[in-house]
Amino acid sequence: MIKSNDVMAYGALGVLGILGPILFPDYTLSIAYLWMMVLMACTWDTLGGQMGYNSLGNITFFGVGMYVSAIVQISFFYDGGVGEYTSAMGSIKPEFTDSEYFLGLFWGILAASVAGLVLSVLFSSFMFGLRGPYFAIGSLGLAIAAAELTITIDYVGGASGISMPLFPGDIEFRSTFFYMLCFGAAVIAHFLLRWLYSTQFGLAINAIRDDEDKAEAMGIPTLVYKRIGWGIAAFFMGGIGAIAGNMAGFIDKEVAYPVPTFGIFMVAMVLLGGKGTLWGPVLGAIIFHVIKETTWTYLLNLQWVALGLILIVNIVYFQQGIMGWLQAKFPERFGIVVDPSTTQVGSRQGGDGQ
Amino acid sequence: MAERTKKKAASKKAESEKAAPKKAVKKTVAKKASKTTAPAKKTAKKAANKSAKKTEQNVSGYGSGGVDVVMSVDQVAKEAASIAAAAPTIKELENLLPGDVYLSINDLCAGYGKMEILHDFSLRIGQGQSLCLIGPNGAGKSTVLHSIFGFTNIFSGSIMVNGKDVTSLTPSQKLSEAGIAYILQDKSVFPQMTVEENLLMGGFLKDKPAEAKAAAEMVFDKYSRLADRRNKPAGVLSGGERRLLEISRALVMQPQVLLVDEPSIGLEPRFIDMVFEILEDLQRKDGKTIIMVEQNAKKGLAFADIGYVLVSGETAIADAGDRLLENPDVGRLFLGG
Amino acid sequence: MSDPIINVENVSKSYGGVHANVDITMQVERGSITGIIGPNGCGKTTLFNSIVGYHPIDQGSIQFDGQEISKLRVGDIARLGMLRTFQQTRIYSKMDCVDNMQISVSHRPDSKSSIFASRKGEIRDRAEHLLEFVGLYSKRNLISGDLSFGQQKLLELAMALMNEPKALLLDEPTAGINPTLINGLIDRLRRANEELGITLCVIEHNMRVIMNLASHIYCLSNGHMLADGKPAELQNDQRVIDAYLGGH
Repeated sequence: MIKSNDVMAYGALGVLGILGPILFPDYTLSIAYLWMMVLMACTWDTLGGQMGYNSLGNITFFGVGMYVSAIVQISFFYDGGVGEYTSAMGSIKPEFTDSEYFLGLFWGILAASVAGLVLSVLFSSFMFGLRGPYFAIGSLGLAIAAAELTITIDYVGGASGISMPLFPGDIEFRSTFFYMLCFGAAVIAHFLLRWLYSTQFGLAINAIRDDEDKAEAMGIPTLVYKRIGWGIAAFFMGGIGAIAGNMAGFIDKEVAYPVPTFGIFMVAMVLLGGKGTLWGPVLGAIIFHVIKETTWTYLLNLQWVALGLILIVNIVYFQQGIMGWLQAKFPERFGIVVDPSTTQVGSRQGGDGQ
Repeated sequence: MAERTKKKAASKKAESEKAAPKKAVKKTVAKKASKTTAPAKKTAKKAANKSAKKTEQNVSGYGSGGVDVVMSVDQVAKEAASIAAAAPTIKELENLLPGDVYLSINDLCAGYGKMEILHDFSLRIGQGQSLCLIGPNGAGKSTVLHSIFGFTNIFSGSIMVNGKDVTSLTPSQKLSEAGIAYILQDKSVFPQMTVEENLLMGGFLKDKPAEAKAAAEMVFDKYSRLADRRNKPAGVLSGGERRLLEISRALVMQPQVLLVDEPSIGLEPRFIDMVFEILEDLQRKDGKTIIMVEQNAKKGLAFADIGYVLVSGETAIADAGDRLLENPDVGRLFLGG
Repeated sequence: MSDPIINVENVSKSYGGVHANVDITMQVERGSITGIIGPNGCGKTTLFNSIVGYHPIDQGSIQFDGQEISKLRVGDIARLGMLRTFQQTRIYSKMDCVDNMQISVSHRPDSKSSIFASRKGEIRDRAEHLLEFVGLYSKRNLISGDLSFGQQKLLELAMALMNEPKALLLDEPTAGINPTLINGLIDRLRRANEELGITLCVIEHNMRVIMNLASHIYCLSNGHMLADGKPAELQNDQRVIDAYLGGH
């Protein structure tokens, strides 16, 4: 159900999304990363805000996806195979035709997404026995373990990393192309989640958040819902990881598993915007990204101080985030019904709120 | 003893009268409700002594009776609203007191966050009196107690105790300066601390720990049941003993006013009477002023001098406790028949 | 007892050195309303917890609808059709009432609703109908955490009914509820039992409630089964009076 608020918001974002790179071509990649952050925030919130399981390890799927895509892209059309390519440490520069490149990219992204999904299902079998802070730390451990494990595997270049295939086309086209991929991924993710939250699934994960024991006692098969929720997040994280890897041009442990930065950013963005709301993650990602970019321009290394401060202020004074604050101040605009007999009007209402 | 068999015989008769399980009759006709239909019993401005007359209405445990008066929540609200339209004036509230006003609430608008639960609520009680708040769930009864003690957002209005304005005092100030103690609704002992430690916690605001210890000893002198268990963790006490501990812990600061939130909730029948005996003792012997919320309305009204019926944040009816018990509208709408 | 839907045989449970349930045997007849009374700490809630699989039992056997369930856990037993309500009312406090109801739909394998079913439609209609049944229709769009205590209890009951269970275990359903509303609750419980065929097992302290509701009552004391029988019998049983009812 699209409400007038939503139409305005989608309109504004649509304008930004479509006109942004046209009006500000120098910022195309920056806005591309913005959409990437939006996707990361939205998918994190599925588990974190809507279901109450704060994962610090979603970045695992991002990194795995990145590497899986690299393997697929290279092995598809380079006859020597990935192992030979990586051990050459950049000296081999394969020549792909345009169609080979894009086909490889397509399969790479798909494989990356599926890999993320499969990995999350595997993790689900033991991770969801943990609750609260234990789940958070456990998932963080997964990310760190994945990063460390990757650099031991020579097949994927170990510590030296992998050079991604060169994009066939000039820089402008490249930026625009990857911009469209990021924007498209974010749009698909958002609308899929929007639909999902409007079904019984949305209610189920909210119930798990509000009172998991009660949900179990009412017969809700919580593990099924947890698996699906994390699976969807992992699918998109894997996909966007593949895209990010190609955008970077070169991947290694730092690019694939940026745990202390992007891994934490996605949480910070959602907290800023408002956990557990449809627009909170989007809003938080946009604001966070804009602040990040401007502080980098003007404060350089003090950027991290600024971002840290925002995080602290958010958690101490502003826990409900922007959307949470707006919803408390203007509940009717968000469809939240307040009991009329108890609103602060002062005069006698008489009778029950009918 | 004779009373018990008499009561049993009475309830047995009531039981057999309802032998044929009747389907509950929904009262669809909204009766034009009048405020009081006081029977011929003369009720002067008495200080509500527990005379032999009152023991006739002695309610034990949760009370007995049938369950056939069924009304929907909305229906109760509608009929109660028509009663509330003729709400009691301040003068009428003060008429229920034998002497001066000790604690008064004046046109209070209060609630939680932005929600206003009480609308222009007023209350009068004299020293050493007891007052029971009854009414539907969500009417604001606990909010009254919370407001007196300082747990709510007060939008307007005031609360006076013994001539002093105490509206904006913090809860700890209410306890230490204004002599008001709040006894929470159920399960508020510290389960892993001993009985004695719980009592000492009641005296936390005292200037010296020695004073708290002395006050705790006074409590042990008064209630030997607690003294017997002074070193046991509070979590192993039975329900009635826990309630006793909760009440006596509040007494350590020697308050004048006791705010009791649902004294009998979750208690088994034999302890309900015990708890009310303790409260009566505190009122009669120690002169405490008691304001309580009690969903076990029959028992609450049988105990208290004054009863207020709250509906949707306003006082609908205020009268002497036993007069409310006899009021057929009150019985139908709020006492279950 | 011709057809027990819940059969408890020689169940014992201890924890932390406390013998909470000692050799308890009882049956709940299908389609009946059975009561459980007894002093605080006598093991009533522990018995409930054992039956619904909240914790494993030390000894004994529990059968539901002919099936042994003592080794099953809460979710599995709930999906077999046995639900319980909690002494401290538990609802999904950040969701509104209708949503609370909708998610309480049955998740049994034979039920019609699927994971991705839309939130409008038949489920929503049934949810609103049941909210009306318990008298919460006018509050249906409010956030359930904002409701008063008594209203939350009603919501919890409505959620249980939404699930269409075969048996419902209610832990002190009327504690803290206004007396007139208690009558309404009892009326609705009776109707749920008669019209919907739900077997009820109720823990209660309010004798007015249990005497008017249950056809058979079990009294526990100190972890043991003290007495059982029809309401009138138990009310006059000296053991029950001494241990529980009191009276002067």
